Amino acid sequence: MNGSPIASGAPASPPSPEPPVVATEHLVVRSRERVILNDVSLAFPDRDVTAIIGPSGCGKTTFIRTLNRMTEIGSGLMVRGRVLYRGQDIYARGVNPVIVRQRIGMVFQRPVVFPMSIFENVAFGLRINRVDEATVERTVESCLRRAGLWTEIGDDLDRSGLTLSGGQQQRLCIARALAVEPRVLLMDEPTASLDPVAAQKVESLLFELRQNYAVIIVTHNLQQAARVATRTAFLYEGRMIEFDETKRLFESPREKLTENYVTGRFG
Amino acid sequence: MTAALATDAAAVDDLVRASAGHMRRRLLLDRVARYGLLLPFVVVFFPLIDLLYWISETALPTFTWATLTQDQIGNGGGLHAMIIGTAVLIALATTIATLIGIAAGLYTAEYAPPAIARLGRTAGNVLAGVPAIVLGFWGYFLLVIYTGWGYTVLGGALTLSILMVPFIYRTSDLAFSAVPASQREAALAMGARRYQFLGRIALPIAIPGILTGVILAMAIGLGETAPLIYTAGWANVPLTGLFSPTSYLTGAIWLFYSQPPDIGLYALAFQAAFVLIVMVVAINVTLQAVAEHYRRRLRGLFS
Ligand SMILES: Nc1ncnc2c1ncn2[C@@H]1O[C@H](COP(=O)(O)OP(=O)(O)OP(=O)(O)O)[C@@H](O)[C@H]1O
Ligand SMILES: [Mg+2]
Repeated sequence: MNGSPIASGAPASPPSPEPPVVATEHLVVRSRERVILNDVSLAFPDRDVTAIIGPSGCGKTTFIRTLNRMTEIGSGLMVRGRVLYRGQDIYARGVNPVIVRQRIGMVFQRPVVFPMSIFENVAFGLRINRVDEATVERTVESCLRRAGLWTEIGDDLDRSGLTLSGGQQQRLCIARALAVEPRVLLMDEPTASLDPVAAQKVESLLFELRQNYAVIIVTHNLQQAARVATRTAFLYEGRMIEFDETKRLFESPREKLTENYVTGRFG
Repeated sequence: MTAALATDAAAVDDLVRASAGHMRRRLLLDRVARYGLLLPFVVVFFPLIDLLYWISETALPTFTWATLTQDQIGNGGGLHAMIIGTAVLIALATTIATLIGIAAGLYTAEYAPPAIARLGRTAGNVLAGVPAIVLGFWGYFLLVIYTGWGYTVLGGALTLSILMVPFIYRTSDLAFSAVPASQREAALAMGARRYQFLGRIALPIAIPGILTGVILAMAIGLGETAPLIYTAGWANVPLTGLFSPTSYLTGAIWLFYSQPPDIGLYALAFQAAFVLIVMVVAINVTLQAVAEHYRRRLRGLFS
């Protein structure tokens, strides 16, 4: 590869008016055998969509899973460095991962619907926190509305969530994640298992969500990143190569590696 | 009709004849499979049908309402006390075995370190293989002699539950282990604690599998005599409490079938067998329906 050397240290993120809602500082994640993420420092602004792109196996999934301490669940990975949520290190002593995950929600590549009714799926996060019934009902409706599902299935809430189509299931998962009022929503290729029409619906939902949440989305689809994300980070072999406004990253990347990737020369 | 539809001789040869040869072989294989496998199928169910016929032949001619409602007296009477005894024994034993079996299965699948889980699974299989008569003897020394209870319903039910528990334990373990990992991830990503995931998501997913184990254990438990002979004792009148001895249907079979065929007790043995089989069928049908109800709610989960 004829490119500039991989930038070392933390590349400066573009200035943003607000302090970041989530930031990583010199994040290193390693398995028993090798380093998966090497010194990744990124800052994510509030009320905005940030994309993470990079070739398969570069560590995108691993990265966003460290942002709400999902890495801890049976992965055997070691995390070093800091992950800050509104300035507080979420890996610090005395921070409960359960609470972290309520503030920083997650949506997976394949929708994971619980084997219960549509209503109870959305209500799940409230039920486990013993929220009163009136609030539950109000929240379920508003979350289904925000996820663009209310008009489709609002009169059929007792149906099993498992009977929904793939695209509806993914939006149900988004509604469920919204119900616990997170500040941040992590999405790992949320449209990768969906057909183009369903993917389009989830994507347009992102435009709504950006008003109220910090959305961090992993995607393989560069057009998608270009459409939805204000900023985009490019990861390559566990390193953060470039982080910039999406338009700039795609049109005039600073790094040769980025240019090669966004122009489809590898990956 | 037109030239385009004219058949090409070479094509006929290629497709039709080759298909015919293929079909002949296929048909032969199909026949072999169909009729060859029918035989073992019949072999499995023939004994059951013949058994039902054989039992009914002796049980039904003298079967009356009194057979169910009278206690056994002298050389005749009915199965009243034994039906109550069997019902109470199996209800108690199932409750105990189900609670312990599910809890132990959950521990094995969810909490136990791998070495302990392996040990538990092996132990469960060994326990399932312990002869019932050995369990009965052990129950006698522990629950009749050592406790000083004498022959009691409770002692019988506890011994029976130990016979049943490995079946429920193993199926619970399997059912909890089969809960998709993605469900756990998603629940924990919602900020659920582990017990909340287990209670609200894993348990409902595991219930149909657990019920399969309960059905099997109940069928086995209902049919056992050996664990009860030395523990539950015998009584011609219905039990009065957990610490009274009791009679039970399998005991009636065991005690009465060796009587001369011309007295009422001989028929009573067959009637006890008949009632027992009806109970097994009823429990099976009911619990299958319950399991199916839960299974329907899971449709689409494992795809
Ligand atoms: N629990 C783990 N233990 C060991 N290695 C892991 C673990 N999880 C991920 N890895 C490794 O880390 C690397 C990055 O994986 P990751 O899933 O984060 O990649 P990705 O960028 O999301 O790829 P894709 O685009 O294909 O989803 C891979 O080489 C993977 O094999
Ligand atoms: Mg991934």
